[in-house]
Amino acid sequence: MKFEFNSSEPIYRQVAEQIEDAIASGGFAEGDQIPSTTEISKEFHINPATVLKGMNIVVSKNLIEKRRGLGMFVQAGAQKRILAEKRDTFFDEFVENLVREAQNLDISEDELLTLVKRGYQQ
Amino acid sequence: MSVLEVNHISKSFGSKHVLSDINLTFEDNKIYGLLGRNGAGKSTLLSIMTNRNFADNGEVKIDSEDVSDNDSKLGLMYLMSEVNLYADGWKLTQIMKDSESLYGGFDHQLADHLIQEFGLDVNQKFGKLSTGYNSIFKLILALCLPVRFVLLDEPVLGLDANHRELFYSELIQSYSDNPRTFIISTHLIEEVANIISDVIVLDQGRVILNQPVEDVLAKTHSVVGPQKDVEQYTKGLNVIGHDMMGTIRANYVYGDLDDRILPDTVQLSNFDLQKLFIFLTNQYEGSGKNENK
Amino acid sequence: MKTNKVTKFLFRRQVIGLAEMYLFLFAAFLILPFLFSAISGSLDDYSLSQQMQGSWVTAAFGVYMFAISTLSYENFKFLIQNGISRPTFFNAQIVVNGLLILIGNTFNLVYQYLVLMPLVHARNTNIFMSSYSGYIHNSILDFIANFIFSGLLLVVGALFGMVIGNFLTLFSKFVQRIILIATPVIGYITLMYTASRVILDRNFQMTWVANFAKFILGYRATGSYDPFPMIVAMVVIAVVMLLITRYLFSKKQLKRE
Repeated sequence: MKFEFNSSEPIYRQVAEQIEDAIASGGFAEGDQIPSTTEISKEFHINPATVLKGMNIVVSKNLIEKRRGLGMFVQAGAQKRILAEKRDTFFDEFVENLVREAQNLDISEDELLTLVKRGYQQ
Repeated sequence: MSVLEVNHISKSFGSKHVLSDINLTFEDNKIYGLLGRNGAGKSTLLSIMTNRNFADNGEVKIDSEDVSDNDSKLGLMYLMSEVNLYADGWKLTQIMKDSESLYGGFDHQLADHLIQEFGLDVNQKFGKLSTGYNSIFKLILALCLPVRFVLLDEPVLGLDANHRELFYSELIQSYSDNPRTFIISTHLIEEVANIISDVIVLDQGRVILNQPVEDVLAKTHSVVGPQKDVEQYTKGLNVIGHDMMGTIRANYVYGDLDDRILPDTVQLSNFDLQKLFIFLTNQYEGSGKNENK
Repeated sequence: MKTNKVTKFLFRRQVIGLAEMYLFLFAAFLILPFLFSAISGSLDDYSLSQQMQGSWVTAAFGVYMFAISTLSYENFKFLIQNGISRPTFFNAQIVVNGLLILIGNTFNLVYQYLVLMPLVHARNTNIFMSSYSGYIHNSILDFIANFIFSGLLLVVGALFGMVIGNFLTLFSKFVQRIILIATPVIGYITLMYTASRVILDRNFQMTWVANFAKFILGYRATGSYDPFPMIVAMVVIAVVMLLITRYLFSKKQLKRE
């Protein structure tokens, strides 16, 4: 797990995103235990309450669960659901920006499609 | 549950007002960052809070009881600061023993762990410690004594990067194991920015900011784009600083944005505590409190 | 509740200092002369009993009490760092000084009665014995009066040290130096002025001062002085200085160094 934080978004939301990213990439496999709030706090010098707030977002999405006295574990099917969610936001987050930038640069729809194809071939 | 209150504290040295009507409340189990430039009054405030020095006016209370000349309340606080209140000739082991007896407790397990992690030789005399180990020794006392309020005035003074890293981790561990209130006064804002839950900024003896960090950061907005559009958009907002790069202008706003329409050419994002601090304390070249005049 | 802990802390530190001082004096007055005699080959001239007759044994304690009483800032720093309030520090320090004086005074008198008197047949080894002993015609009551009188003398000395020391710590080092230099100078000038007036001016004889001093000292034209006016005077002075010391303790602050 590698966290990189920036100042443009609240830290607790970044904590949630980073945990989700790690699950999505398979870094935290389903059924695996993830680091505790204190471990994450200590490692990245983040207030434990902030980390907990971020974790609770992930818990509320049913991606991780708390097992009493043991810690946090990745739920079954979490990776799949995160990937599905990411697909849902793919258009908003990436395609719209891509098209806008292409328009700024006077790249036509055909030219853009060609570029996308070239991206796949590489 | 313990609440530490600072009510209407003022202090002057001669004709210089060091603190002017300071009002603060420190709640249970939070980590406060007390930020301010050199001479802003941080150390004076902390030393008044622990009854080391007298205020000209005002009072400091714990759970509605004045702390001055009050052993049971003073015993709930430990202030670690640059000032050395231990005599040079005293051995560290003796200081720890005496502190334990006066505070009525000491976390030996944690102390042993920290002594080993930091590589401190406790069979030395206090006066023989280097600046770094002087700080480390006092930090160990601060973390191991049974207090509700741990006041740290420039805690990492003289510590190298490794020891600073270690200290912040141990601070968090100790806080998680035994939640209590920390008040950290520092000029190294970036290092504590994510650790603190609440931020207090002192400037020229006045409190100019006192809020949860999350709320503070939500109110920071950097507005970047062509100069005309940026100025148009931020008109009437609380602009506390700006940058210019060619014709691109960045205006830094502190406060809520209203529902005005954001032009396509202008980008919005937040900025960090360090930047905010610099703008608010008017340190930054080109910024000014009166930009909107 | 914390007064006990602070008392223990201060007592341990100051009793260790006392022991160190006696060890030092023992070395300086008994062992060193012995060594010198041994080195110079005049060991026959060395006499243990002569070395032990010096008044240093009994005087040392008074000097020590005065000295530690002037020093309180170091302890104040440590105690305020550890959340101990000024009144608690004051109470504990007074208890510790009382205990030390009890120990030191007992030691002094035991030394006088059991060592000095048999050794040199001295009858006047302290102020009480030289001036007041014999006023009470009962050796046990006389001893008790001696104990009280000598003890009070130490109390007044210690409190005087506390007043001076705690007064000075209110000021910065610079102001302290000015006071330490100015006070003797002003005192000397005042004394010389008064003395010259007394000598030169017939109308300025200050006989009331002499009369008052005679009264306090319990002066009798013949025989031993009366110790009781002096005892009462010392009690009054001690109470006044105790109140002053308590006030000075309440004003203690950390100095900006």
